[in-house]
Amino acid sequence: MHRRLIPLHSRPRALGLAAVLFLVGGLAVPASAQTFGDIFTDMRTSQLGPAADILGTISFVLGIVFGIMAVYAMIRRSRHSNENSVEAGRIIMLSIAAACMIAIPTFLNVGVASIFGTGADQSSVDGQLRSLN
Amino acid sequence: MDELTDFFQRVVAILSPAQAFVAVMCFVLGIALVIMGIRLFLITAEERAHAHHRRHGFWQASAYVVFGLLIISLDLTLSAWIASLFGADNTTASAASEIMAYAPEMLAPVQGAPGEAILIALVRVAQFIGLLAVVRGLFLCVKSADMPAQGLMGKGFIHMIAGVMAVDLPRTVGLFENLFFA
Repeated sequence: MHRRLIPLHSRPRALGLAAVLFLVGGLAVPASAQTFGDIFTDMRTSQLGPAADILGTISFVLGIVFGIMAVYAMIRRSRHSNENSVEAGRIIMLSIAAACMIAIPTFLNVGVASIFGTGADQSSVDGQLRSLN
Repeated sequence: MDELTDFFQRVVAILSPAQAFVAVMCFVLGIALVIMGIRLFLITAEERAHAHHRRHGFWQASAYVVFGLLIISLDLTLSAWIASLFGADNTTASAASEIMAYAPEMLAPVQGAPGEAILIALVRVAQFIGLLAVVRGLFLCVKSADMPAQGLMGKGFIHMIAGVMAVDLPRTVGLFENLFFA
């Protein structure tokens, strides 16, 4: 009795070529960095600034997702009042997390002001570290 | 000797942009930490609600947010540490060139043109290493929330205290000058 062998390579390959996106920051630099200091400056101005922007955007999108999840949890809770699958605490925490993440710059400012006081200088991406000369 | 002095001057010229780079890196990483902290609050609340095995705690989420904020405002954190250690009037670290004024007697042997320049450059390098130590201490404190009972919080605070003493090295040397020669 012969067993039919199914060749493995006959399986259809579902995935085609994936588009690879390289995030090349806008390098407005001369042809080559002259010193190590130039490298640090270029990294700071052309790479890390957009990175902070991307983080803020990701947080905003996550906040929207959490907000939608909160509303959905409210609807589920209202429909199945006997079922205990959706707790009120989950809805509250989702709403708070959504609010904090959508308003992440304000949240950060409020947090820093809570620790160091409202008169404190808010640091920024492009700012120098002023405490050191 | 002049070439050695020039080399130290070139090293010092790197440190300013490197320092700004570290500050901005901390700003970005701090934002990420705060976002992770908010998410941890959510995860913790869900774990509490479902009475699962509790892998996360509100302490962990709070540590992420608070230390993330401290890392975001690194210059203010340094100012607060310097004010705590050296008195409320001192909110900024003294410049490396002031070290001769803080410890004139102890540093008398290196007085003169090349010696002073090299000493000031070395102090500048030590200040930068101190800044890195403070940053490492802050991140160790964040890590202590993930891995408790390993003494990481104390290690982080020691890094911060020693780092701040290195950041304000002229005043620290001045303390020893007053101890030995006053």
